[in-house]
Amino acid sequence: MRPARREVRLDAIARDDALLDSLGAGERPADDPIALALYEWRCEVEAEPFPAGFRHGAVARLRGRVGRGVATGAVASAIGLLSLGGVAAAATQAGPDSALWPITRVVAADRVPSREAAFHARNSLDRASAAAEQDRRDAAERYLAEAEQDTVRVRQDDGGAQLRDEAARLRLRLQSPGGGEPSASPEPSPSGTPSASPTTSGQPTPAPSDPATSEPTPSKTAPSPSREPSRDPQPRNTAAPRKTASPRPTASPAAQPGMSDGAKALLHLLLTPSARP
Amino acid sequence: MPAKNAPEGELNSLAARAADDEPRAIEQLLARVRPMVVRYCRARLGRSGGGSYTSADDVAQEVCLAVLSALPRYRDLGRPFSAFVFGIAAHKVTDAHRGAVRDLSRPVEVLPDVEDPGRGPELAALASETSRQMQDLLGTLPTAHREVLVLRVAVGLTAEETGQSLGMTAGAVRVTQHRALARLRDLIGPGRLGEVSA
Repeated sequence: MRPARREVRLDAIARDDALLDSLGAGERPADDPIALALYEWRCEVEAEPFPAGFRHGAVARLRGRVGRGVATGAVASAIGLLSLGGVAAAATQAGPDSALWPITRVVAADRVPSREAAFHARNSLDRASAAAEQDRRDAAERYLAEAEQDTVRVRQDDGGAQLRDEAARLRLRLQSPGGGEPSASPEPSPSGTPSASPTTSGQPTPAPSDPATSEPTPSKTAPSPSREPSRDPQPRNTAAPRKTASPRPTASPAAQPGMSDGAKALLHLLLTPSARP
Repeated sequence: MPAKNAPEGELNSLAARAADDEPRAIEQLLARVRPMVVRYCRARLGRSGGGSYTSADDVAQEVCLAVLSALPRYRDLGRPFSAFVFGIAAHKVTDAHRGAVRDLSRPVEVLPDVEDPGRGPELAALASETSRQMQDLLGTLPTAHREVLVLRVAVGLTAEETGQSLGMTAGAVRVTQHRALARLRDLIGPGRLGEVSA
């Protein structure tokens, strides 16, 4: 290809600039073949819907590259253990409705079941409440039963206590004679609820182990899984609420000094297998 | 389709907040950046053998993940955020090109000439063909020319934004794009893409 030395004319430059402005805005050019070809090229880019969120496959592929020979669970829990700030923290806090969710599935894999359960429980509870408001008892019962199944899998620091409280209040309301009356509201009553679920007071909850959120507090292990199926061989006290409405402040896991460098390196490795600064 | 991209200043401040570990900002930044990255990757990589954008979209996601994980470095570099993003995107696309070339030596998987039955209509095929030709042509241009056209047309950035993304002045962008178009006109010659306008 010969480097064409050509005279640069200001009016031609301005004309081409205007042409590219209109092409960039998606406007169809008149009859210039090259402009039409560029227009087709641009249209092709838009011809398929853009991906709405991260496809899990792509993220898994990243993990696959990094995780060769390493158990992914080990990687995930190592990342979880060292829980960083920034993206990892944002992803660690994300729920299934977040754009960061697939990253959550990588950097905080151990939290996924609880988060998903919380997400579904929230939906079911909302539906159950709505059904109760409309005096549709059967529907309310059905949604509530679904919610109850989900809430037992929600960890304390994913709002498990609140969800269980809410489910218990709704259960109580449905069981009372005038159960579904519209006046009964599902909002939290200040009086103690006869719920079998723990409140935010740090009552032991069998929850998947999550070193990321555990503060260096002594583990008051009091294994008395009441109505909750034991999914974890080590029922323990989780004490670092993140997404919950719990007023308790969270000790930032990023404030663990010696660990953070290795964690950063590991996260970097995980998320940027071939990124060049 | 979103035709308007986020103003550069807004994007920079959002990125700064995201770099400060503000979860909302990180999500918003991702929502803003992703469409631009998807456009860039699709324009550079085109459709894969099966006629879909799966590969290009996967690369776009890798770019987004790389951008997110490199956020802490953003502040230190002190350049416009779009330059940061498209710098990473260019690297990833180059890597993907290399990977695709390597894949050709493998005797399995995708046959490049397979028609996608889902894209039946002739017009779509023609547009797709034109688009592919354009992509081939862009591949013959000098890097700066190609990058300017990709950002100006496919991503839809202004000359100023393109300049910020590529570390050029807006004036240099205008001269470069003029030369790039002139070169394309030379390459194609009159009438060669006549079928496009049909």
